Amino acid sequence: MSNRQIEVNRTGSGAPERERERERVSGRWSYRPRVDVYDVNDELLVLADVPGAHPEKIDVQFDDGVLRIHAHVEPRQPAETAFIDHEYGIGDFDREIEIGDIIDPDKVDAEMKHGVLRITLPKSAAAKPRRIPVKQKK
Amino acid sequence: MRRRTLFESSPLGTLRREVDRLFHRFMPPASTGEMLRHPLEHIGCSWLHAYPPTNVWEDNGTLYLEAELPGMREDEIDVTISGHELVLKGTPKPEEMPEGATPLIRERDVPSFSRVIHLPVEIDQAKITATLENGILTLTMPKTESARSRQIKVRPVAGAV
Repeated sequence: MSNRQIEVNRTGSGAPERERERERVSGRWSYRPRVDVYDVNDELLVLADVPGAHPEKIDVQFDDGVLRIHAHVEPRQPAETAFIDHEYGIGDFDREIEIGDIIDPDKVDAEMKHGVLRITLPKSAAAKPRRIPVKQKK
Repeated sequence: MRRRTLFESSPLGTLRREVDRLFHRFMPPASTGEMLRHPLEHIGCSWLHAYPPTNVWEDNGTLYLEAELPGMREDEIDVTISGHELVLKGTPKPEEMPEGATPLIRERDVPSFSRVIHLPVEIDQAKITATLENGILTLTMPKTESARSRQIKVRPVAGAV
């Protein structure tokens, strides 16, 4: 989280240049995927847009209350491609989401579908909602 | 930078998150640590930018176009071409959510769209292919014979020194 560097990178070689930003996470430049996080009763559900990433090139870690997503994206154009229109950059995705110590780290599960990473994080027993039965006093 | 957790459930925590969210939306990325992929987003104007953003490139025989459409399925995307105009249309179905899901962070957006793209060269329309893989739509558009740039060999004039 510390040492995060942002730069404006000029893309395009020949095409009208457009500005974009990316950030350096642990020494590497990468993009920040958009995420949704939902609280679903006994678990948290994280959806992350990682278009272009192959399922086997995705690394999901949960450690010390932090969910880390790294998705490697292979270039899809030959190097030195002269784009006619260049509206977005292509590269790896990285994101850290502070969840807290409410998750059972052994039960975190992730799957990829249509370029969206879907991570389920079951809550630990202590964090699950509990219904307290109300007893009728006789 | 202060570490934030998802579960700051006090009303002040909620307010703080909301203010943060607004700052992230309206402040330039450099001041917030936010990284945005499209140029106008940092001033809250992503709607000014044509959606979906596309990359277009070519080689001698083919024009290529790709767009990132995470979460969309084949049957939700419609590609038509007439003359030099390519139309990309998308009508995503709402994402299936488990019952009782409460949003804590919402950044993803899968809007319906219709975008017209002007093609710079003549395309052999019968040979266009469209694929969708891992959220990337790729159109492969072979150029017509006359649109291909031809390489002309320069030969020495016979008898010249």
